[in-house]
Amino acid sequence: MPFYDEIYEDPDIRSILMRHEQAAGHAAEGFAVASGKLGVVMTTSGPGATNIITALANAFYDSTPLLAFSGQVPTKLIGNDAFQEADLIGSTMAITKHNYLAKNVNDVGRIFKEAIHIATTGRPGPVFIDLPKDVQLAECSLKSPIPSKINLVGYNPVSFSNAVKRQVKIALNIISEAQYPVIIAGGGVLLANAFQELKQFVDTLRIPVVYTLKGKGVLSDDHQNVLGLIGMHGRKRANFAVSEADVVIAIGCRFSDRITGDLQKFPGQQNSKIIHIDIDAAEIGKNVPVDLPIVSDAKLALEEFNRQIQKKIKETQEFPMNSWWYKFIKELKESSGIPNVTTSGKTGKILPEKIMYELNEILEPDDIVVSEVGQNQMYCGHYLNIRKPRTWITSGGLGTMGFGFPASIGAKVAKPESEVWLVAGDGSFQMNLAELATLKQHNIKINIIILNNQYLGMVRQWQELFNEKRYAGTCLQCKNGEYWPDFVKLATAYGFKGLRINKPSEVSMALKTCRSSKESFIVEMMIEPESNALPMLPPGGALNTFISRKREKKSIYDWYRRLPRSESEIADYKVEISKEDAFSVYFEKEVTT
Amino acid sequence: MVMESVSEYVIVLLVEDHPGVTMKIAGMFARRGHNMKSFTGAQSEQKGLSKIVIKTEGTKEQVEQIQKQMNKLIEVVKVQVLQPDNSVIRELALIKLLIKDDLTHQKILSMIEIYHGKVLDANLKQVTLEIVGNSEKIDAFLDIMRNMNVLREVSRSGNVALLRGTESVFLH
Ligand SMILES: Cc1ncc(C[n+]2csc(CCOP(=O)(O)OP(=O)(O)O)c2C)c(N)n1
Ligand SMILES: [Mg+2]
Repeated sequence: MPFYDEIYEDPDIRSILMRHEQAAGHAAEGFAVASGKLGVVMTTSGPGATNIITALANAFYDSTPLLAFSGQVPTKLIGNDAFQEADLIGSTMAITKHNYLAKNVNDVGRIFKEAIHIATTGRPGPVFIDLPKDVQLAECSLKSPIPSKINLVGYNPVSFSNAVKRQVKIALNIISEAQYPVIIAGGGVLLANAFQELKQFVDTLRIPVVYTLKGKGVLSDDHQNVLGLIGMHGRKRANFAVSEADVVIAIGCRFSDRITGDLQKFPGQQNSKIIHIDIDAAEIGKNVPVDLPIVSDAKLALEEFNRQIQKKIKETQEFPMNSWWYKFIKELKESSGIPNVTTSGKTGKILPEKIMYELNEILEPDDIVVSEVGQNQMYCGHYLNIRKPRTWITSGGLGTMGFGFPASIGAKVAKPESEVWLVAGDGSFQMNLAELATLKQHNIKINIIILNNQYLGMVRQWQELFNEKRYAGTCLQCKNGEYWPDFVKLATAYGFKGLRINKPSEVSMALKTCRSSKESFIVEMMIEPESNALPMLPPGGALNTFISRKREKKSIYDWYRRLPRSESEIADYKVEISKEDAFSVYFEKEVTT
Repeated sequence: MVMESVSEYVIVLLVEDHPGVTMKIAGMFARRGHNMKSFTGAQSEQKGLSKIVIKTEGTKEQVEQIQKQMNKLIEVVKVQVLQPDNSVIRELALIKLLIKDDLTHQKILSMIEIYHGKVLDANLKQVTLEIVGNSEKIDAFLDIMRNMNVLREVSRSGNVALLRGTESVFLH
């Protein structure tokens, strides 16, 4: 209360009151991802503070810069189980980058300065500050309450070192000998704002790029080298490229089990090599054995790569790209676009692939897409064309249902000029739907698309595939087959308009209506209840073992067969690229940011 | 796959003297499933910094991972991994033994002498002593006492360690 009172009439601070603290935390995360700045969230003590635990954990596993602070009972009462006291220092320890209990008002300036520094530098993350009420009220006796310098002896995040230069040189040697190199771009590329550097690197060497869920958007999905999402729900062509790779260059990704599949069959085990660039040394070698570790900020490492490549080109006048592989990948990409599925599902409802197709038609490059968690998220990650960094926002490491809606609010606040689309599952949306009131109160426009399959779809999908369709605890229908809430009525209850559609032919029109609405708008799309997010890897399966629909089975095996393996096959595949061609791409200065 | 060899390591941490630091360190060990065989902490030679010594067991990769995770804690200033061949590692044990009869009393006293123990408190019913050494030596002494059925209580300090030679691990 004292803190809020202080900022009540402050012209520089815009505070948005949310309906639930968890949502406030996720909104701050959405703001941080969309803007590239620090997100800030403030709550009251006790239950207010425990409500942001999920957001802190979410920010921790997605390395989102977040500053959270909450009130606390007066210092004299701490430890006495006072009214609305909760041990937030203990509770947030494992899910924050750092936390503070401010016991003395003279420390508050220093603590905030340090907290912001810690949250935004190195591998970013959430920092939590506990602010007892008496500290909030006390007068600071220092002349300059905020110290000019930060003095954290134990915190010196490496961003670059001379060792990096040497390792980059070795890396370039390894890459130059590779026949099937692949880049995995992770969220670290986004956190480092290394978009131009990555694009230049890729455009020079023409190495195919696959991305993790958090790396989507760091290089446009339209880019000819970008093969898409990898992992459990990745694009087949992306998983295919990684499983055939002889050199994997991983940039700012942590090889989570959702992207590697079976580790024993993941590159790095036999004849292939892994080069791993990450700012967090603890991520290197944690999940996969790495041949060449590069502990560095992704932007600085890629700059060094580009510098050394440029130097070599100048010296040798030779263009260092692997042209046959580039041609192969380009053909692979061109042959595996996303079809427009116009048919209905078996019960006559819309298939989610259709919605993705139409969304791609309507999305402008600056539009921001935020997903919830579940099948809806995997459809988006798999199919959507995201063309600019920071226009794709999703909960990755923690997979938090209920993240998407409030995060979309934060994103809209960060980028009021952009259209913000929320693609939500009916289950996830209900986790934080109270924030519809926030939209109304603050006049925030979100295009809300609910994919209503009347199930906790992703879990149901696992039950269908691995538990003989025993849909325990995943059906959201009533016993009599009715489904509540009525999302269109819900929109009306909060003073908005809404629309429910049942047919594939209505999708495009509904999206357009939503976009052109002045206020937030809910489109409830009734999708095929038992539609599945496919292809997928069976849990524990390798990257080249897919569960997929019959009609999709053939293509990837064709490519597998076509992949040249012996030297003579490779030679046959080789293409000549004229120097002009090669250099024209290389010197192209167009940037996607 | 080759079975990776597991050995003992001593991790020495220089940490800021803040409340809750030990909790963060212990929490990190517990959360990531690392093994903690002993834990000691006290003031270091530098003002405002404490030294924490943890004995752990694991493969080289596991210990490297611990080291990296420790380094990430903001209040941890420095991390060093020591092994028996490059360092001195010691432990102190306070041991209370019960005297049942003259014969055991004599045996106890001679064992204490062999193990270079030092009697701190004694009367006709008990002997309280200290033994300093590596953990194996203390284990061995305790085993003997257990077998003689005279061991009443023990309080061990956990390991403390320094690098050999003039080299120091930490800030100057
Ligand atoms: C807070 C939370 N609770 C539970 C889960 C486990 N979970 C993952 S996906 C999913 C189903 C999501 O259902 P819905 O939002 O309707 O999306 P759909 O998969 O149907 O598209 C559940 C329950 C989770 N990820 N987060
Ligand atoms: Mg659903």
